Amino acid sequence: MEVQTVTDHELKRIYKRWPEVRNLLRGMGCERSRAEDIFQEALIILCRKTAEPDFHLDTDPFFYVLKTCKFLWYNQARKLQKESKREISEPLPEPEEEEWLQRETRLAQMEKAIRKLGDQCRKLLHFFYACSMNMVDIARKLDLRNDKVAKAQKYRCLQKAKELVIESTANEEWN
Amino acid sequence: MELNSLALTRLIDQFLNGELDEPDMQKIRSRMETNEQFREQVQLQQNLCEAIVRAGTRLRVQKVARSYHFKRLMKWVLIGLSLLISAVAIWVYANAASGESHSASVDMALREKLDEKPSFDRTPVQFFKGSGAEIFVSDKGILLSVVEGSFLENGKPYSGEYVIRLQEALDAAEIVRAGLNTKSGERSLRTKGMFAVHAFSDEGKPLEINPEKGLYVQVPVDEYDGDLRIFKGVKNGELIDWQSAKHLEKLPLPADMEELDFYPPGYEPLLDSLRWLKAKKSRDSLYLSFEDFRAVSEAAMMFAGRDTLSADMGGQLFDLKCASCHQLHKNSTGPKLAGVRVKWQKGGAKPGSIYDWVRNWSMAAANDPYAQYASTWSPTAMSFFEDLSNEEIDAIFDYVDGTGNSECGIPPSQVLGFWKNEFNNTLLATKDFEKRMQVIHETSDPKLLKLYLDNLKASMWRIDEFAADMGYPQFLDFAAEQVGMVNPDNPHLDNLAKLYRNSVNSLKQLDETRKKSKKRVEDAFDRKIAGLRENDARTELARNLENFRQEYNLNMNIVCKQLGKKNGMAIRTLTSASVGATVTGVGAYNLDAFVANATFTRKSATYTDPETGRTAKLSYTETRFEIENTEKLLKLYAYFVPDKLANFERIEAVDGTITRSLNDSIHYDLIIVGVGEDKLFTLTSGDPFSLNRRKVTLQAVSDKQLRDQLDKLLTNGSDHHNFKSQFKFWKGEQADYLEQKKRREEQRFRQQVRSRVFPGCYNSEQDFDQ
Repeated sequence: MEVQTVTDHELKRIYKRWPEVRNLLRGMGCERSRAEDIFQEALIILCRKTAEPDFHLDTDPFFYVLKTCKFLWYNQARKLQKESKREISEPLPEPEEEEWLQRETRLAQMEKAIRKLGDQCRKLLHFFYACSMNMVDIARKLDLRNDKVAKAQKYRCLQKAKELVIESTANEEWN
Repeated sequence: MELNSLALTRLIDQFLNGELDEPDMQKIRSRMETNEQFREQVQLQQNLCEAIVRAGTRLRVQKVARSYHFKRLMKWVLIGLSLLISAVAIWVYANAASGESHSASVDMALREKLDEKPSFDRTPVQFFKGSGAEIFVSDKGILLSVVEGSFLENGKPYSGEYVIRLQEALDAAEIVRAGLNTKSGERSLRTKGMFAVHAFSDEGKPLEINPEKGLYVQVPVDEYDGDLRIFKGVKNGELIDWQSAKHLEKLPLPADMEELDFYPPGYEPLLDSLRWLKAKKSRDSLYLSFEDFRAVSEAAMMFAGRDTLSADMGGQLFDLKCASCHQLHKNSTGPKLAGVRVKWQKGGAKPGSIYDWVRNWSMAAANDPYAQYASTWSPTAMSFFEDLSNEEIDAIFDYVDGTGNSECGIPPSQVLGFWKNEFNNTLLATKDFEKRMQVIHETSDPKLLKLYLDNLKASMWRIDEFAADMGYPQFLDFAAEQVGMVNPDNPHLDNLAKLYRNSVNSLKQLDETRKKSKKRVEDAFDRKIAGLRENDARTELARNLENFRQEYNLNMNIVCKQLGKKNGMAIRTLTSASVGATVTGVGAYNLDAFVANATFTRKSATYTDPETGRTAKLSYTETRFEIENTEKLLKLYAYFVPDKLANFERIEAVDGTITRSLNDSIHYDLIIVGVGEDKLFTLTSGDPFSLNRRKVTLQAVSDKQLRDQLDKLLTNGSDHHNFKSQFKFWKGEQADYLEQKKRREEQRFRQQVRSRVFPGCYNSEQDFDQ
């Protein structure tokens, strides 16, 4: 299984404080439906960050999430700004943080693209990469004949995913 | 090296997973350096894998989010709008207006078909797709629960996939934006929100809601208001008219029987504070053991057994005289009357002053401080009933306290009878009934419990209203909660009544059997102890008589020797305690009487022979010693073991003091035995005279030490034998003491628990106001 540096319990604890985050984000002009997405995104980032070996958190994880939420919202707001032409005068994240966030945003976009994959493909890739299961188990779980078939299927799925990602980036550039 | 794209993907994946051998790895690395396009491909694929891992993390977060929202939702005041009663409610048709969808799983083509007739203009539309029983939660927190067979297609049950279209306007801003009005006829309504629900088959055909199954819709509100109703909207031109208000029902909160607590409210806290056994089985059986403990109410106990007019008469008098101002269980113009006699007695009213009060309360108030206090209950003065006699007043109170019906409290068997897994999924296995049961315990009225048990198919709030009508206004608050019903069409419900009766009966039998077997054990013990005591008394009597005979003979010999006469007067056997009865003989009568008298009174005396003028003397010395620390002793005996007699003499201490007149011509060994609660204490002495007028202290000994002491002390066999039975007797006393102590403690414990098991029967309130 995936290494869980942030336990589910911890996640639940942070989630309980979602109303605080919501109020903060709404105070900064973020609408409700977007706010929860941002909050969840920030939680994902927390999980991923804490899994990094050289990352140390010396404050309550909740504050880290809060900070990330702010940055994510500024990012989005800046994009929206282009549309609405409204000034956002809040401070921006530091450059290295900025870079990391850009990368996470890109990954999130890729995730979105992969969601269009078929059910079996999504599961297969999830089991292999996210859960580090071996091919034999995966084959059994997905009702495939054997691990060879599963492996071949995995490459096809990867290929498909890649195409989806490329397609979505192309769309992005058009927009 | 030109690869097709799938092979390339595979190669890169193998490279990233480290599945290639070193030369191949090297080749790829160098190619990455030279070929920018290839490098980008590798990068892309690496990111892709990371994105997949990230998607896994997202799943985790979303799971947490779902559980958070679900829990929060449950916490909200649940208003269930059971569409059971208004199956087609909110079935409003309006003209087309497109909304945006939040659900990606309903495909566009189908959605366009469905979008034709949303109910509210300008309100976003949400879609939920499912099949069979499912739960959906809307953006604003409306919960929709669909059960198997909730929908009908052309009047027939529909079982395929369905799509639910929901529109919601829960706050003022949305209602205004949606252009919705809140009028019912000419009346304006306050609203907690509006919603419209439609269901369609997967082909886009509209489905009806099965009126027998219904949909369960739960709407979050910030504050629950008992006056909430659900209205059905009917399109009236541009406006919607809200009609046919229906009561809302909350769904009872189901729970497993094993998690519920139906004991009387104070029962478990008391047991916990006494550190009593935790196991439910033990607590059940203790609870059941109070089955016939409730037999008599306090009032009935205190006031029963007098010659009174019948309670029927009391009932008539009550209706005639009291009912206009007093109720039995509820304060009205006057205070409630149930338990009023007990209240007066406990409040310290003068005996009989309550009669005076009824006849003329102001006079009673002048004579009795308690009556004075009672007169402050209300400024409204009570009427005088000067024509009522004491007997008539008694009859009224007997009626009021239900003295004729002397049982009080909820029989434990009736509670344990339904507290079983068989009653899961019924109205009883709910948190809501748990709350009501607490109050039922406090009312002590088994009729209330019966009311709920007899109406398993009804809505809880209807039963609550009935309960309130029975004179228990506490249940009005419950009724206001508008809790609905549980599985009324469960065919199993009809069998449960029978099951319940059987289980109550078998519980009663179980209790009887347990009580009988306990009584058998106790009786056997009591018989054993009684036997020991009887035996001890009998042997003591025989021993004393025999000792008297021997001592008489001894004394007679001494006297005869002193007088120089031959003794022909020995008592051979003694069959009765009447001293001297067998002593006969002319001429020697006086001598006999002297010896018998001296032996009997154990006092020194002299006798002068009238014929010879010689004098004989019998000499006794009174010995007395006090034994210290005797408070905790159950029995305290001094055993004088005489050298010239066959048996020891046992003297019981009086107030820790042994008094015995000892015959100077006999040598006595002494052993004092104190029987403590769990130990024996002794003192031995070869010279009892030396202890005379002294305080002595006993030493604790083990059984073996005591036997050794006796071995040393006793030289003849019959004493050995007798001490053996003494030993048994002492041990019996100890066992009896412990047993009686245990019974007393149990009695005390049971009294304590009883007041918790039947809270309304043994705890009458001290105040006028409840």
